[in-house]
Amino acid sequence: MPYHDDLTDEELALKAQAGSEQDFDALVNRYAPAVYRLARGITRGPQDAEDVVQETFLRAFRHLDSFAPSKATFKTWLLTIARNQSINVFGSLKRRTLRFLNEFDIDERGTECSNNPFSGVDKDAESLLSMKQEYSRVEQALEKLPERQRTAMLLKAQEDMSYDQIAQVMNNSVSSVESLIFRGRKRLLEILEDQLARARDFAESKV
Amino acid sequence: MDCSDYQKHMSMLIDGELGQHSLQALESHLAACSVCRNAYERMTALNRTLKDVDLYRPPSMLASRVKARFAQESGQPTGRLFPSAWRQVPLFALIVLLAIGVGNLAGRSMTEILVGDQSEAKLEYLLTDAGQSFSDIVLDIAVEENSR
Repeated sequence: MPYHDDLTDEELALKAQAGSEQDFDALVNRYAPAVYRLARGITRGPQDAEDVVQETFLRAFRHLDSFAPSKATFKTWLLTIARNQSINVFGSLKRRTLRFLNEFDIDERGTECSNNPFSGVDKDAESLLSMKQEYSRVEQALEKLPERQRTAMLLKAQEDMSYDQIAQVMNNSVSSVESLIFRGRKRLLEILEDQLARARDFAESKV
Repeated sequence: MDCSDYQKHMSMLIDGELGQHSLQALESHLAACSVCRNAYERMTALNRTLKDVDLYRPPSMLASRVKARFAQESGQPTGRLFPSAWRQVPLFALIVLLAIGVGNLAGRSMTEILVGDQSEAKLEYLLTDAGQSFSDIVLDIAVEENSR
């Protein structure tokens, strides 16, 4: 087991601050997936998300001196940078393509998503189809949420962060995070249940 | 509190953020309200789905690609440790150039600097006066021969 595995994020960050390249690399290994998931949830595109990961770690490295464990955990600090980067990318993307995606492309993309983890997985065809549909349904439903609701929900569901940590990442109050997640859940349920109802109606009309 | 308030508390309960006092009130409400029980089940199912579908799984080798691009953009691997020092290089070079420039100008008046270096012209003038040009030498030889 590499010795880095025994160190906390904060210990690694402090060693990286002192000039240890290996310890910074260990932080990249540890957090590239989390940064990617958040960036992907905000920007939507796999390549944009990877660019955000790159830029996030570059900025984190340059501003490592400003990280203080007494103010925030390393994960919170890093994801704050990642969210700001993602919003910059998302802002410009949104202006260019949101209308196109919403009106034309989303239905087409569905199961063709390049990062759909179920593509190429050797499983029973029926359950694979069901999982792919589930993945696409959830992905499309999330895309319909406002960015702030989506981000708060993803930080909770995927990174298991506390409301307090999410509030730090989003530069918000804890009570705002409570509301964002609650409204996001309600809206997501409405969208998913509406999708299911329409799918059921469609299936019945074919009988 | 109405059902909407309780449903917000359900959301907090699912996330492990509800205090003990509010939890007791919510449990009492759920025991009596079938609409909220149904909402709680749907919220719980949604939460499970969000975790199960494992959205936005990162591509394999992501960290390696990030580190490779990182090294590429930062120059030499050891340069990565001192990014702020590398950023100072242009400033340092400017200071060195200025220092050399000031050193070269030391001891010279502004007129000399602006008009240019006249020492070579003066030397040439002196040499000409001393009869060291090719024509002077030829002329000197002719004078000597005439005087014999």
